[in-house]
Amino acid sequence: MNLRNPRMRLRSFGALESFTREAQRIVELDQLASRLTELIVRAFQASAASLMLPAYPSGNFVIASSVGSTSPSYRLYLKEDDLLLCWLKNNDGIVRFSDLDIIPQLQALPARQKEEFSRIGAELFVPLKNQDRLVGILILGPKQHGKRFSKKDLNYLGALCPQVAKGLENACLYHEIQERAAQLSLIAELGKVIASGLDYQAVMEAFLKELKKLINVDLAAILSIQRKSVKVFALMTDLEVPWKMGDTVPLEGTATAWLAANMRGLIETDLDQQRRFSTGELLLQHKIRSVIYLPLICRGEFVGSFVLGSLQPASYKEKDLIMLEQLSSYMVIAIENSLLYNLEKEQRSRLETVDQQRNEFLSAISHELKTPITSVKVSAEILAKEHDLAQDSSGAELLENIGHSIERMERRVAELLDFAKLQGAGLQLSPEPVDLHNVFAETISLMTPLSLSKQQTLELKVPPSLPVVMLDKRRLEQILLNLLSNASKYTPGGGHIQVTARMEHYNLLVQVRDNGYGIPASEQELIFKPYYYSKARTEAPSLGIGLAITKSLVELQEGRIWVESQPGQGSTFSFILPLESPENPPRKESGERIESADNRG
Amino acid sequence: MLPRESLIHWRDRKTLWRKYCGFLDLSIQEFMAIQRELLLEQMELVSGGILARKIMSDAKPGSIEEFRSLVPMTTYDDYRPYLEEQREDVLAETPVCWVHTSGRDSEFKWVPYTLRAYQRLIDSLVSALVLASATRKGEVRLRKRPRIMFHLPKRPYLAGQFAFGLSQRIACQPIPPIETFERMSPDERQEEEMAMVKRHGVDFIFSLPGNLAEMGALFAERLNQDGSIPFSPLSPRRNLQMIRTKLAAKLRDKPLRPHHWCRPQGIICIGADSHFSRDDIHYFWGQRPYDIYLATETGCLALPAWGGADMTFTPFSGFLEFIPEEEWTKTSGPPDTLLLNELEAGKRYEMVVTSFYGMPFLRYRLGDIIKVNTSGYRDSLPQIVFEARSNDIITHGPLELSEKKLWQALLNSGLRCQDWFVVSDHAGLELYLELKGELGWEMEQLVAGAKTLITAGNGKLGREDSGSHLRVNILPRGTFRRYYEEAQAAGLDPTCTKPVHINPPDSLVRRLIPGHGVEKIRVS
Repeated sequence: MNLRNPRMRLRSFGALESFTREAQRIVELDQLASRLTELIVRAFQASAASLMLPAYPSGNFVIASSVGSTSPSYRLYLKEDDLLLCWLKNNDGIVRFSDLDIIPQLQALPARQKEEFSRIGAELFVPLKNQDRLVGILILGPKQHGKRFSKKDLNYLGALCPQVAKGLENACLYHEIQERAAQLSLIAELGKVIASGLDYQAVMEAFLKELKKLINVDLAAILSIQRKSVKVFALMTDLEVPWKMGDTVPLEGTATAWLAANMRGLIETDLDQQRRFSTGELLLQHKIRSVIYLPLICRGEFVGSFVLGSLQPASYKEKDLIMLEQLSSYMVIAIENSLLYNLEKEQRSRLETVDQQRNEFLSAISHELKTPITSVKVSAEILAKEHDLAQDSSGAELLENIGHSIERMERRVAELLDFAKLQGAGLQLSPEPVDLHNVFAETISLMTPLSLSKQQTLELKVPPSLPVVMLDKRRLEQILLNLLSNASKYTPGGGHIQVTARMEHYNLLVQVRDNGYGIPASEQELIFKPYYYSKARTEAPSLGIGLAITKSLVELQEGRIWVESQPGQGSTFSFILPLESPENPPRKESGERIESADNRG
Repeated sequence: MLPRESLIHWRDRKTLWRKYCGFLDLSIQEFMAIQRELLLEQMELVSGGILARKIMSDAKPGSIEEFRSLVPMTTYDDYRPYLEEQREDVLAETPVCWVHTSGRDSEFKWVPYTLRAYQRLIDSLVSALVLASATRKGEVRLRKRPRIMFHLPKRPYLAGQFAFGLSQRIACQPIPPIETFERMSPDERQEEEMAMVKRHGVDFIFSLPGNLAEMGALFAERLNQDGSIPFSPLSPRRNLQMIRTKLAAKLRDKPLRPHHWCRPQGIICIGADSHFSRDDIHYFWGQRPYDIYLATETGCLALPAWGGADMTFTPFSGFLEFIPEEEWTKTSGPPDTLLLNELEAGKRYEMVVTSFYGMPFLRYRLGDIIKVNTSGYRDSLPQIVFEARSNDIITHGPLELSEKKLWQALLNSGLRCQDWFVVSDHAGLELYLELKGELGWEMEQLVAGAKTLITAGNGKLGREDSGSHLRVNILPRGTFRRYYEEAQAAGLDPTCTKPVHINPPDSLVRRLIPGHGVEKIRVS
């Protein structure tokens, strides 16, 4: 460049000074880029100029600003491995449009790219380099009035470019830092939002609220894909739109179909200029001008799309797309969590309803049965008295059978009622001072006839020092009777059943041991579940709720029940009940010792 | 159809060289980048076409690796049902012309050319013109309106398009003129060519090598028979040159040859058999031919640099893959391929090409074998020579004979033969040839030459203990002329009627071998 030419020098320094001043004054990259292209157009009398700058974080060069007659499509961009970009990075010098047919490395430029450059009238591609780093690309349109860019123009540009590049790079770096900081901040906020709640609607609203701080959003929707249709999963907008949640449209021709096929996001810069999908038409009708479509991908599978729309055209840039692609993955997780939570809640509620209905049924049935059973019992008693049958007569035997059956039925009905109450949390305890010796003794005496009939021995082994405690006597008896009757049922004739009890600190530990058939390990948890009975034995099946009731009664009193058993070697059912607090400690008689957990033998 | 190249008009030699010959200076990375870009563009272009979707099973590869793993290798049989009927509805782009090539069985293979592919082909011919006439790097001797003789078959052969395409692209003077090119019969055309060359001279010649050698012989004969000088009032310098040439020949008492009359700047030959006609062409026309590697299905694939015999691939005609020799005999699964940057010097490869610019051929096995040489213009881009067609290699145990080797054996024998072919079976080789001279001591030379060739190849062929033989069969005079006449009558251009030399199809053998009159000589 001949700087001795005063006019050239003036132009050169003038333009440089202008730009340098601008670069110091303007920190916003967009503004600086716009100002630069205006200055260049004026200084070189070009009909148009566009500036391409690298987008963060992809590094693709995209149109940052444009001045002149024909605006470039905002879809025009150069990827890192594009031939033109590689050439400009690795070579110095300005490239003319005609060079695209001459330089072998550029002859293979894609036809669509060439067509776009031709459409915008690109004549010169000027690399802006700062110390061999390509900072931007200036695309100049043809000179005004049909003139051509002379060698002097090119020299002048060559001299100007390094300074321009320097100013731009600083602005780019500043911009990039700002972007990164904003993104990190947004991601942090969104992370909190996503972790904070399980209601996806609330999550989306919070998400959008944060997002609006960075980009324009006038409409947001999540669409889920369902075979051949698209369903509106969520919709947030203040605009009057005809769609609502749950609406479906056919999949074909929609942006969602495109996203499913391509698995990457897409920006439609201005729906008024071009609409690729049927959804675009609908959006434009409601004044949405620019749209960003994002795929929602969960575990590698496409599950739906996320659509953001703005009333302003060209609201979204590639950097927004890249940022949102990262954030959409978090959103998918949030939605998935929310859906799973709701599903679980629904199922739990359903189960609770079923449970309640069953218990109400049981209760109703039991009450319905109680009255006729009582009637039959009374009738049998009256019959026995009136006819005064001989003890060994068949009639007497029949009456005895009737009596036993009625008793069994009464017990079953009572069990059902208790079970229903326990499930429905309707059963109330009535604690009273209880002499444990008496309770055990009475229970043993009740069981004695049964055990004698099976020639089983029944042994009670309790220390004399058992205190008087506050317990529901009836329920304690019920627990003991259930365990003893089970022990008797599952012990063969001639077997031995032992009941032991002791105090462990402020807890009562009771064990019912038998040398019966034992319980396989796989069933030891199951036997406490309602309606379960061991099918290994051939005794008459029962309702299978005895142990369930026992367990419920123990747990109702804040106790615990368990079994230890080996098949063929008998079982030991143990339960422990916490007794009164130290304010009402158990009474001790002289010479008695309260066994503690430390010295149980 | 094609825009006129203005660089020649403006004599911008530097730019012209860069545009048409700059590919010679590409680094291997740049070459591969161009290939990648064009391949990805090709995927975008053809993915909407029915034929391509069928070949690719609706796959849409987004990278070279995906392309090579998803798209199977193809042969013409995969395209025949559609291209034979010239169906354009299955293509991604409407072609600007249809061309054909005669296949091994003389069945035509039709090929559609898109506009960009056609333009790229013609540009390759411009490159050939520049390089064929250059003596050093950067030299462009192309004049503004060069006289170019197209001694080539008519359309719809691809070569028939050269005259039309080139005359659109550059201002040139085709011989014969475009207007009469296709109206003439081959003999008429040849006569017209000789007459025009005699009258005006010629700057460049495009031809098939064997045909040009024959034409050279005929032209020389005419020149020596006909004493007249075709004076032109508009070319006094030319008139003087012709007088001087005639006088010099008379004084030296040496026969005139075409190159005495006019010395072309470049002779560009297409076809695999220029090796055998090089000397003849040099003798008659004054310079060795500049061979270009061109396939009807893909266009021009490789060109030599100035003055060289080894060729450099151009990255613009097709995506190149290479099947290494160790994969040729693979029986299970498709063979693996290599890319250009993986080739090794000294090794042979079979070509697999994917066309660009919307042309239909994807991973197309051309059936051509090339060899990568060690020497060449550039160290980075491999330098190659055309070795053989894959069908034209005979293997007997360790012995490998190609058409080239057999031609060489015939040349070494000193025999002058009209044409020949060889049929191989488990027992040995049956060589059939029609001689130009008489049988006699020349046959002893043939036998000796063939034996030398075979034993040099470490084979047992022809040795008594091997059980295999070489038998030479002398065909009666006129066998091949009769064949050419029948082929011409069937619609084949006589310039393209060379029979297949190695294991021709049975139908061709039956036509060539008469029931009697064949002399058999066993060589062992």
